Amino acid sequence: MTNVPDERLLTQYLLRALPEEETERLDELSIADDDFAARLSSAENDLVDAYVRGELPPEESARFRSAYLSSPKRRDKVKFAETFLSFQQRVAARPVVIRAVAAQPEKRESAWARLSGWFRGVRSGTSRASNAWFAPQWGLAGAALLLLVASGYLLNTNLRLRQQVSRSESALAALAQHEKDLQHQLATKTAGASANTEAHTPPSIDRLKVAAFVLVPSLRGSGAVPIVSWSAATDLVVLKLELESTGFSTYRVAIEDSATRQTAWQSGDLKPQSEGDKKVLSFAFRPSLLKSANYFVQLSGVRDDGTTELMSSYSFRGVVK
Amino acid sequence: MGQTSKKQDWTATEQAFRRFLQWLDEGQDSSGERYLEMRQRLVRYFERKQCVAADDLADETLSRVVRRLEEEGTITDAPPARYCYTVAKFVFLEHLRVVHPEASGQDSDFDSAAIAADSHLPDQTAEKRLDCLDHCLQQLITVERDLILEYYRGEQGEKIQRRRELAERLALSTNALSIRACRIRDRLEGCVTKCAQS
Repeated sequence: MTNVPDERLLTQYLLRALPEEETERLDELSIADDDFAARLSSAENDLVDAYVRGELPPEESARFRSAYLSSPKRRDKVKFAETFLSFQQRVAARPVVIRAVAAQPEKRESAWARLSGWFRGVRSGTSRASNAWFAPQWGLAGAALLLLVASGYLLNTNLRLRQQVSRSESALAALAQHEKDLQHQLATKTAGASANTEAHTPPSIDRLKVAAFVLVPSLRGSGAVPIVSWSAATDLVVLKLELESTGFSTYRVAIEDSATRQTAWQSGDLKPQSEGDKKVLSFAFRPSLLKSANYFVQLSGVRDDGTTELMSSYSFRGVVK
Repeated sequence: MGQTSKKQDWTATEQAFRRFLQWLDEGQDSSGERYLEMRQRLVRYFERKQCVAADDLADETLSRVVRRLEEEGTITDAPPARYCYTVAKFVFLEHLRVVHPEASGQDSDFDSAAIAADSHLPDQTAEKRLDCLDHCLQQLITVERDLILEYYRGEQGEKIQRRRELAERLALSTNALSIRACRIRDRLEGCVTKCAQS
């Protein structure tokens, strides 16, 4: 096919708003032309979504009701779109979206103190990862950032719930609960951090500068790319990935430059760890391997036979301060 | 359905159906995918023509093509997909004469009063469908789940740019991405409908 009609024409066609001759031409293409058929399916989904979201102009919305909603199957498509929209709005209101990234100010700390808790099971299988000494650095700044971002999402969510007012109330309630949870966590961590500072005076030897961050899968986030920053003096960057599924006992990660698709660093076998009801995967690498650029962390599960399966992707923007 | 019903009395043999699949595939074995795709296109064509029995009319169309192929051994009038359209057009016109004999120009057989009754979901049904969607999303592999959530996320205005970026990230053309998203959505929609009816 040489000339695929534009989106506007497809919409008019779906709304039965074109002259008979043009309609017949597109009827034929809809069956005989693969490209056109694919474009039409895509345009139809977008049209249904736009209707459900209330984005159609009034006259098109009226025409949609009279011309499009005339078949039971099509009404099923609308029902699905309504359900999908509700789901997306709930996802947007969920805490998981809020935790797009938690940046942590760098601190000097004992390297041995870093070999604790959630990091114990991590194994580095390559020479690049052989210096993988790391520890969680989550604290006040991260939690405060979470609360700030949570408020932004709350506002954004409210604006988008034009058609789902009743559901928005439950979403807001969930968010409020999450804020309370975060405040509780913040209080707990602050107390823990104070106690830790008093209990340990790190020796001057064995000191590392570590920058630690949490990443959630890139496609579930708000669209903003999380920033992972470090300075020239940083010894290690620690990333903790929240896993969506835990179908494997061992994982590998690779950090790819999103522009060149070249692998900047890859891990050996990594074991996931439990953190409450979540599974996380942690690893560390020398920041000198990266530059200021956009990266993907490609997460793969390792099968019993040693082959891998790509599971998910986490994106971040690396910034050298 | 008058004339249409008479022709539906004919039943394709297995051999005739196999020959039809080969003809439709045009030399590339699609393992029946091409047939399913063509049937779906025909169903949607009849839906756009506002025919209530879109599935029946699509089947009638395909049945006539199979029959002609069996009778004549080959069809050289037009490429398979275009020939299917030609037959579909005749099936539709015949259907119009049966459904609206008084006004063959009218191309809809829907009762508009029935439409409004189904336009809003009761809350309980909506909740169940949400649970079903959640369940069906979990059935997808992670990459597919992420793709469909990202592809259909957000307001209309921002979608184009986001989809372009997503295609770039996945090393796909925007066209290939939209086809993939549509297919995942079709599967998801089928899963949710089935789950909601159970």
